[in-house]
Order: sequence, then structure tokens, then C-alpha cells
Amino acid sequence: MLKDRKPNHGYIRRDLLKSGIAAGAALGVAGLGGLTIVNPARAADRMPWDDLPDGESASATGMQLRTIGLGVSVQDRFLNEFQRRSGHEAIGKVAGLTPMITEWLAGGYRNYDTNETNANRNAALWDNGLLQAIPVEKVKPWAHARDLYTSTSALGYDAGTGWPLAEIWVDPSTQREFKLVPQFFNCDSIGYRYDLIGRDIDSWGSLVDPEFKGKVGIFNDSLLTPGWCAGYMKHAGLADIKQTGNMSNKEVDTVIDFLIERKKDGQFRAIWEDYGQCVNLLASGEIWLADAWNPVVEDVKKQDVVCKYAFPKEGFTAWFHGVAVAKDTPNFDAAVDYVNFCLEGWWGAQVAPQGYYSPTTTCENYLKNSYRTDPAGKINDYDWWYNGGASEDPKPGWPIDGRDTGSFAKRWNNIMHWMVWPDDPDYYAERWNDFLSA
Amino acid sequence: MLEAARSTSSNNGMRSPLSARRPELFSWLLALPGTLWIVLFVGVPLAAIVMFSFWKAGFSGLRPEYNLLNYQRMLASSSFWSITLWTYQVLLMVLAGVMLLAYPAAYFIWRVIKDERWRTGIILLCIVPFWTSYLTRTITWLPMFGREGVVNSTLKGLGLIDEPIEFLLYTPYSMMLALWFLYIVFMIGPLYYSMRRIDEDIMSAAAVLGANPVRVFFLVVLPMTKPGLMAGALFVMVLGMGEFFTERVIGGAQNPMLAGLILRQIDIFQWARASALAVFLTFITLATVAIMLRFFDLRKV
Repeated sequence: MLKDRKPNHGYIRRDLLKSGIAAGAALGVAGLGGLTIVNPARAADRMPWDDLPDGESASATGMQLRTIGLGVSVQDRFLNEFQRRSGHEAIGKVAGLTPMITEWLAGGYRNYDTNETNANRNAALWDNGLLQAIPVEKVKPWAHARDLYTSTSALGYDAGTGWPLAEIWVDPSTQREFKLVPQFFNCDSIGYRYDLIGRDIDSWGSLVDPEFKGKVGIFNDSLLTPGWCAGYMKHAGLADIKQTGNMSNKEVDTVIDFLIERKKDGQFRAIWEDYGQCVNLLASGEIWLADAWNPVVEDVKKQDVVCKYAFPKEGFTAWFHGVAVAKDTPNFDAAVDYVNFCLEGWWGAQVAPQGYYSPTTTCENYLKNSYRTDPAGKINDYDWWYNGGASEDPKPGWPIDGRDTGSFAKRWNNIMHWMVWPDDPDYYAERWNDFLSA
Repeated sequence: MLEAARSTSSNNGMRSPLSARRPELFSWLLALPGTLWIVLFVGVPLAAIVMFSFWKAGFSGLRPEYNLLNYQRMLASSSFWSITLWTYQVLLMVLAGVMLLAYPAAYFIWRVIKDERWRTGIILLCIVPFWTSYLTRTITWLPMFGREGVVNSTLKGLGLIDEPIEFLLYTPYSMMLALWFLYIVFMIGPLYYSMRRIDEDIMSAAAVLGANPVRVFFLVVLPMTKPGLMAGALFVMVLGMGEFFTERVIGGAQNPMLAGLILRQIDIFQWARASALAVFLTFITLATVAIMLRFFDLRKV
């Protein structure tokens, strides 16, 4: 069952635990101020990350779990639940941008046990020897991994770059040790105001189409924005590009020059820089379409604005987010417990309503019994977020019946490229700056 | 000043060397906290930026590998020079606009409002918006000028327009308007105070000698308020050189000025190139101030 947990609930509990555990243990009392501490005998046959009945908490282990990442994955609701289940004191450090974390860690920041990052930034840390490999047998829920993360014949596997397997495994052919354990993933496309445009958008080209001159917002990102633009140009026959996710300097030049030309024509209304800004720009009608993320579209919809997520003919841009374990962590066991916790199912079920997928199928256990998304209350959350829904109407009169752009299989059959770390990211950055300054 | 003090005391044979040295030591001690503060919080960071500007940086971090590449790349880039030109264009337009808006306002407070309490009240009204932060004052234009903003919905409500006016936001025009409002108070203040220093008898004398009000204004008032204009212009130029936020938030991040270019380099982790730009910006800001001071000695204000 999917439980609603109020934010900060765990803080109170944590304080109670801290002050009460010693006394409770000494008295041999299980119930303490309305909360139950799992007794050691029962704890023996459960894994530290396994679910606990409501109101129960694992006894403190004295170990810490210090995780570092973006607000998208390092959140109180997750850390509190992990602490409740495992008894490890969970501490999160949140950064504004992924590159910021890379800077911290590359710059010598060592007070962390796990790093949660977009996979395309992990290589910089792995190559600098800041992380350690995790043996696959330590990650129990991996038995239920989706084939996208184990097989070269899965939907969405990119033979050109070897992604996603290349970034997950120390050796993708044997798959014995993780470099980065996948945590959640999705594929990006275009968010657009269906109510203002009046028809469906089906191409990345719409973002550079003069029809929408002055009504487009694009993301200030030196890798992602040239990436989708390259995909459009290749598909439309405007440029000859081998790998749109990892371009040569000459190919980058072609794409950026094209974008500069479009910018000078007044194509772009705004260059968005953070999640909230993109939501506001779309919701207020300041822009009509943008290279928005799936949760942005879900958030705009929550404001009663008819916003849709496009199914681009060039394909989606795929990414995954993972957890890596620091090389010098003094809390290795807690770190591994945390990795397991993220894949146990509860975590994956929590992020499903943002449009994110879980790399293991264990979230089904939670989502199949929960009916929080379908307004009619008939379709369970698993069918909605993974199978595409198809309810009568999410809301009366809305042009969307179920999840935008359909089922998992439909989406992952239509991937343009993975957001990989290119061979020369500095060149992307340099040319992107030319675009911003043009 | 210290040099001057030393030379007079040593040339003065009437004083004993001991008593001459004591005030010197004392004045050094007085200057010490300020000097230390400036060295620590201005000198050291500035030196660090100059140093970083000769390093290498990228997605992998900042590395102490000395080179001239950052400067070479910067000076060879055509977009860098067009941005430098654009920065000056914007600042001159801001300056012209602010002067044209501030002069009548200051003149009005000086000549028309006679009650001292009203004068103080109006000056205060000019200053009150500055009690809120720079960011808040800038962001305020968003709900004002947006496609669904106050201006557009009012005009639409009055039936004057059918489609929202789009140049109101995310364009150089909107940026300019926001900048005028940001900097106008830095002009009104000095102008008003330089006007107040004008002896009204001089104006009466000019009138008695046959000058009409227009001649009085152009030949008497305007030259005498030059110190105020100059002081205001210095404020606007120096503050405007560091302008990055208005361009980003109101200008739609599409027409960067030099300070905005620094920020964009930091966004993509080019710390070294951002430092080179910062060194350049510091240099041209100082040069601009020096040139302005050649035209007018601020110490006369």
C-alpha cells in the first residue's frame, strides 16, 4: 500500500528516538511515547531497507548516511523513511545544479557516503577515483531490474555509445560491479500549451519553427539543448551528424550556428534556467512551448492549465540518475543499505507521479494498490504511469486520457539518444556561450 | 597626504624629531584598520581573480596551469567585442534617459515645491523603493509587463489592443526601462543637492540684466548643476558596469552585457575565463571613471 507521509514527521520521530532510545532500551519497553521500536529478534529476518508497519522504527545503529545530490532526489520524505526503516541517521546535502556537486567533490569535499547524480556527470568522478565499485550481489532488488539496464537487446539501448550499460557497469559484458546504481530515469521531450496552440506538437523542430517565433523557451544547458537541436537537424536532413548525443566539434559548430541564426530572428522568448522558472513561463503563457521536463508539464497541469508533453517523431532524449558510493566512506554498510532502499520499490513508487521510472520493477508492489492519479479512481497508479492510463478523462474536457505520450514501451521504443557525457564538453560549453552572447 | 605631512615636519626645524615622528606613527595606526580591511577583502580577492585568469578551467575544475589562453581567446572573440560595445551603448542610453528623467524631477522639487517638509517628503518617496532589495525591484517588472501582465491586461480591458504587446518583456526596451527606474535615484539626489547650492540671487541678477528664463537656465543653472550631473553619471556608470541581473530577468537573458558574460562563463564552469573577463571589466571601469574625471573634477562638488 502506498502511504502518505507528512513531511517533517520523521524529524520529530528522530528527536524522540535520540532522547528516548537509551531509556527505552534500559527499561525493555517496546512502546515509547506512541512509537514502537522493532525488537532485535524481529529485526534479524528483515533487511535494513525493508518496509516497516506504520508507526514502527528500526533502532538506531549509530551509523550515518550522508548523501549529496539535487533536490530532485535528496528530499526529507525519502531520508526520513530511510532512517525509519534502517536506523541509520540520514543526512542530505542538496546542491542547486549537478555541475556544482562535481565541483565540490573534485575540489576535495569528502563528507559524504553516497552521491546521487545524473549519469552523464558520473564519469568525471569515477575517472578521478572518487568512487568505489559496488558488487552486484550487494544490491538485492537488482534481481528485479528492467532489461534496459542489463541487456543490449532492450528497448532504448544505444549501440553507438553503449548507453545506458556503459555508465552503470565497471564491465558491461560481465555486469559484476556497479560504477553507478541506477535510481530513476525518464526521457525528455517538449512541453506545450495545447490550449494556445490548438494542435499537437510532434517534433523538436517546433522549438525552432518560425511559426512559434517569440513564443519558445529553451533550457540554458550547453549539452542538452544542442543535443535535441542536433536530433532535429539530422532527422530533417539539415545536417549530417553521426551521434547527436556526442558530437564532433564541427557538428557542434553546425548546430550552434543554426541556433544563433534562430535566436537573431527572435525565435526564443526566454532562456529558462531552473525548474520553477520553466513552470511559471509555461503556466503564465509567457511561452507556449519549451524543452520542458516531464514533471514541469505535470506541475503546469496542476494549475488547471491544459499543457501537454509531446511525442517527438525524432525521438525522446533519455537519461538516468544514479547513486554512487564514495571511495573513502566510513559508512559503507549504510551506503549500500541506502542504494538498496532506493530500489526496494517504495522510492520508485514515490517518484512515479512526477513521471519518473524506477530501474527495478519492485515499485509495482506499491503502485498497483494505489489509485491516486486517475480522477475517476478506476485505474491504479501503475497502469497510469507505466502503461499509459487511458481513463475516460483526467478532467472533463481535457484532451489527455491517461499519461501523456503513453506507455513505457511506446516511449522507450522511440529514443533519439541518451544524454551522455561528450568527448569534448568544454567545446560544447564554449560554443554555447557564443549562442548566449549572440 | 602622508608624504606631505612627513615633508613639512622634516623641513620644519622648529620641531624636535621625536615629536615629529609621533603624529606620523599615530596617523599610520589610524589608517591601519582601513588598510587591513581593504587589503584583506578587496586586494586579496582581486589578486586571486587576476591569478585565476591565467589558470585553466573546465568541467573538471580549476587547475593552476599558467597560460595566456583565456586572454587570447577573449580578445580574439568577435562576440566579446560586440558585447563590450553593447555594454557601453546600454550604459550611455541609461545615462541619457536617467538624466532626462531626473533633471525635471529635481528641478521641480527645487523650484516648484517651496515647503521644506514637502521637499523632504518627495525626496523620501524617491528613496523608499530602495529599501527593498535590488532583486525585488527588478523582478517586480515581470507581473507588470508579462503577456498576461498588468499593462497588457489593462490595455486589453480598455479595448485598446486585441493581442498582448510582446516587446514589453524580454526585450532590450524592457531592460532599458527597468534600468532607468533602477538608477534614477542616483541622479536625482546629487542633482537636487547641487541645485540647492545655487544662490538664488545669481539667477535674479541674470534676470535683471535682461536674460530670459531660457537663457538663465542654459547659461546659469545648467553649468552650475554640472557637478551634480557628473556625480550622478559616475554612480550610474560604475553601478551599470556591474549590471547582470536586469538583463537576465527582464531582458530574457538574450542580450548580455559584460558582467552577464562573466556569469555565463561561471554557469559553464569556465572560472578562468570568467576571471579574465572580470579583470578586463575592472580595468575598463577604472578607465571609464578616469576619463570622466578628466572632464570634471569630482572634488569640486
